[in-house]
Amino acid sequence: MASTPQMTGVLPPTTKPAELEYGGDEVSALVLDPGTGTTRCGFAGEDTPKTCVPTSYGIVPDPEEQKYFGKLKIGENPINSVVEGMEIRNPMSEGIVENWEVATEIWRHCIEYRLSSRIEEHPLIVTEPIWNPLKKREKTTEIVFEDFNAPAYFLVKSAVCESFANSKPSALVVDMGHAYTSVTPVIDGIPLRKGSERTTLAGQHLTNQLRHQFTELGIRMAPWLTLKSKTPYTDLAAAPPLRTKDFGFQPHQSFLDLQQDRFIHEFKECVSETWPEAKTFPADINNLPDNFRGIADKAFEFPDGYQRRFGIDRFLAPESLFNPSISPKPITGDLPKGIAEMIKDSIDHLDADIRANMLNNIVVVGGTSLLYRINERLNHELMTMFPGPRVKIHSPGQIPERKYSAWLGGSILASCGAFHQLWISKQEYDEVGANIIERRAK
Amino acid sequence: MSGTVTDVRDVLGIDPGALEPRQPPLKKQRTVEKRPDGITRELYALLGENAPPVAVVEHRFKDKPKFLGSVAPWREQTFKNPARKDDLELKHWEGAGQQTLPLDYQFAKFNIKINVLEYSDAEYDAVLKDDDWSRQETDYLFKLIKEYDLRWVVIADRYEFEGKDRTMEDLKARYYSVCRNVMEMRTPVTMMSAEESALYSAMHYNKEQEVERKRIVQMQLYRTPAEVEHEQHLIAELRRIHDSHQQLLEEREELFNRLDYPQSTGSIAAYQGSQGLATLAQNILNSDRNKKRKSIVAPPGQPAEKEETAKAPPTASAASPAISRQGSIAEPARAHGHQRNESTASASAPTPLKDKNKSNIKQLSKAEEAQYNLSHHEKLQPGVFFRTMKMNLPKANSFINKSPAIMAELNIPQILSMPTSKTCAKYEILAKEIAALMDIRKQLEKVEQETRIFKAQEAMGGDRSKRSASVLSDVSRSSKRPKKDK
Repeated sequence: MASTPQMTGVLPPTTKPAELEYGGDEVSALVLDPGTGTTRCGFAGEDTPKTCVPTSYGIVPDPEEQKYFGKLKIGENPINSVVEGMEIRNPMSEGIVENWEVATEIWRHCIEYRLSSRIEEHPLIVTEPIWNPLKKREKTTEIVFEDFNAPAYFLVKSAVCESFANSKPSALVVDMGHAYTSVTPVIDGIPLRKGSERTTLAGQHLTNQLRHQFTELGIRMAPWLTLKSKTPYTDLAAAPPLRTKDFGFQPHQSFLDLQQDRFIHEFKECVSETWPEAKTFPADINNLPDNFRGIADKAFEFPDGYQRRFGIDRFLAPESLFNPSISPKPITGDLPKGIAEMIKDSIDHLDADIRANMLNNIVVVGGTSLLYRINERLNHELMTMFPGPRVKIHSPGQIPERKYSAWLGGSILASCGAFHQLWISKQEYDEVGANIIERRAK
Repeated sequence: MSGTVTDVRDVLGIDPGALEPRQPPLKKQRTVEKRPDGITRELYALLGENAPPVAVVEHRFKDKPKFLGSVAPWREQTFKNPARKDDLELKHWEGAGQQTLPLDYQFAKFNIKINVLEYSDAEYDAVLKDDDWSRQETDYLFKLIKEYDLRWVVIADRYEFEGKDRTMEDLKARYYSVCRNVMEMRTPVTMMSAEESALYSAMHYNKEQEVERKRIVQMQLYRTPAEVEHEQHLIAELRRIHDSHQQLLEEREELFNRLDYPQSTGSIAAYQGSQGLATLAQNILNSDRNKKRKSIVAPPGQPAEKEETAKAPPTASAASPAISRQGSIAEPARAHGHQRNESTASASAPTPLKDKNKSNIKQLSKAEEAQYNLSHHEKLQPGVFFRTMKMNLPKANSFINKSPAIMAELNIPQILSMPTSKTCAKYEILAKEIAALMDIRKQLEKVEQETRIFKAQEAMGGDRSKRSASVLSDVSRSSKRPKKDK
């Protein structure tokens, strides 16, 4: 009796779509989207990556391991288990691969271990940031063909994937990731170099700001993993003694930082919020004006049991994304531009004819864009900057779509029938060498 | 069932006879009631006692999907894409039996490249040389154009040639000029087919205009909120004007119709020569002569007529309305009686005619003039106005402010119900008197006030009696007039 609800316009799984009605042609390609925070990997044609592995890796000193001067620990579980002397490192720097040996191992781990696939059997599509230099692109090509022995491969800019994932050939892509927030204009699937901007005001920046904020408050930042048990308390002055686990050794500081990042991440997800309007944010949060609009406090319990209600101070770190001058932890060196400012700069670099179109097609993706009300703020700032033209922000409503937009775009691209002429084949690589990437994938 | 019931009765000691004998169940009668007209079957079915719809939920697993026909086998097959230059073989799944030939890979047809013009060395040397653009740079530009399929935004973005800073307009201007020159050289403009010449004219590129246009687009993009608001206001205003424009046109049309503007229907070609002009003059003269009464504006006589026709433009459409309009003004004036006629004539006719006409007019006595409400003016003010508007009333602020109250006190309406010249004159006199009285009253109050002050001072001490006396005498002098008036 129970009949399955049929969505109109969606083909039942048993019916084959008409030729060319659906432009897909699956060649069982793999999609790899390496980022600083996580490396996403999965099968083309699916809507979410099959696996999402932290890009950070652990290294345990081992005199027998000659290659990496230690034993590598890759994956969610290995890096979060307490191992004597394990140091946490990241193979990426400035959003691009720095340590190629380890990055290759992580990619191999994703494909061979997590996806249980044989790399040499599948075409592989890899995403890269817009600022990836030629040398790194050639190196990626080399690894894919020499180490992985892939039959075909393509390197695609993540901004292009993100605009495709939002079904837009032309868009102004704002990608708020872990290490970087980038703004890239994409025209007909081609990213523009002039008008591309990036800043470190992203997820990592937020984590650092919050860490500083907590330290300033005098909160003990003991991570979950190191604690035996907790006692709830609200008064910092009367804090009960910490009951830490005795591992018999002191874990590496980088490991403890990673563990701290985990509860700070939770704080970001649950408590942090973006102030929706730039001009109404109080100038001095310790001295609020009497007529200040009340905000609901949000409670958070730290791993050691300290419970605290956060009021206006939970807006401070996200506010620094838009107004870096008020960061809780002062930014050393040149003050970066706020995100809205950066979008304006990007628009200013574009040709006058496409500016209105770009403003109407702003795609905001990336994990940091999931901060509560960030799009509202962005919309408000852009509307103030451009009162005349129509400003429209497009952001996927689904969380996985927002977090894995670049991967999803790659998945769409690699399963597109018309894309298969663009693959760089092993044969072409053998004929031309690693430089083929510069000719074929611009 | 019934057995058990009797058993229970026996157990409970109930006499079966005490109960009413069981009646046989009534046979269900299937009476089909006739559905009245005008009620649909579905609606009728809802009438009466209906069991509420209850969904029967069976707790079991979903049915196996019913496949139509047998399951077709699918095979993983390799295929080649003819759009590729190498022989990469990729694998995809295909339903068995619908094996596609490698040559007609279904997506190969999307591999479309645009045709970009190509030029030979000879052509370049002949028509494409440019001081600003070297051959290498032109080649580079065309390479980019081909690569990015004429996407100018991308081409301008990727353009990097020996540090030369080219704007998109520079690139476009060069490309279109090259295309035009080559096209023109291959086929002269006059020999081009319609298609070619359309393309040729479409290739025309005005760089200055483009730069200016982009500047304006940019300006439009960076408007301030105040400007945006102002613009919206202007747009609303424009829309309003546009909407009322039609109405305005209609009203104007109606006005023209009322003016009874005679339309010229004939062609003016006949009057364009000197002979034609002479005929026209003669015609006009004849028509004027045939009128019962001569126009008062133009007295009969050849010289005036000639002057008139000479002044008028040599077209029938312009000349004939000028004449007929004179008639149309003169005629109603005559019909309305001689008083009006006289004033019209004296106001509009040229001065030499005035004396002549006056001699023809019957002189009226004073009584008659009063009866007809006729007045003589040295100079008539132009335009239409109400007599009350021209009344000579006192201009003082105090009068304007206080006269309504006084008028109300005197039971005289503020607005004259019958503003004849006599009434108006009387009203003027009255207003002047009121103003004078108000003036006097004010003076009186002032004096009384002064007197009170001096009296108070006197009461306080008599040392200033001398000065106050002199003031008092002054007061008595000024208060003489009001006393007399009162």
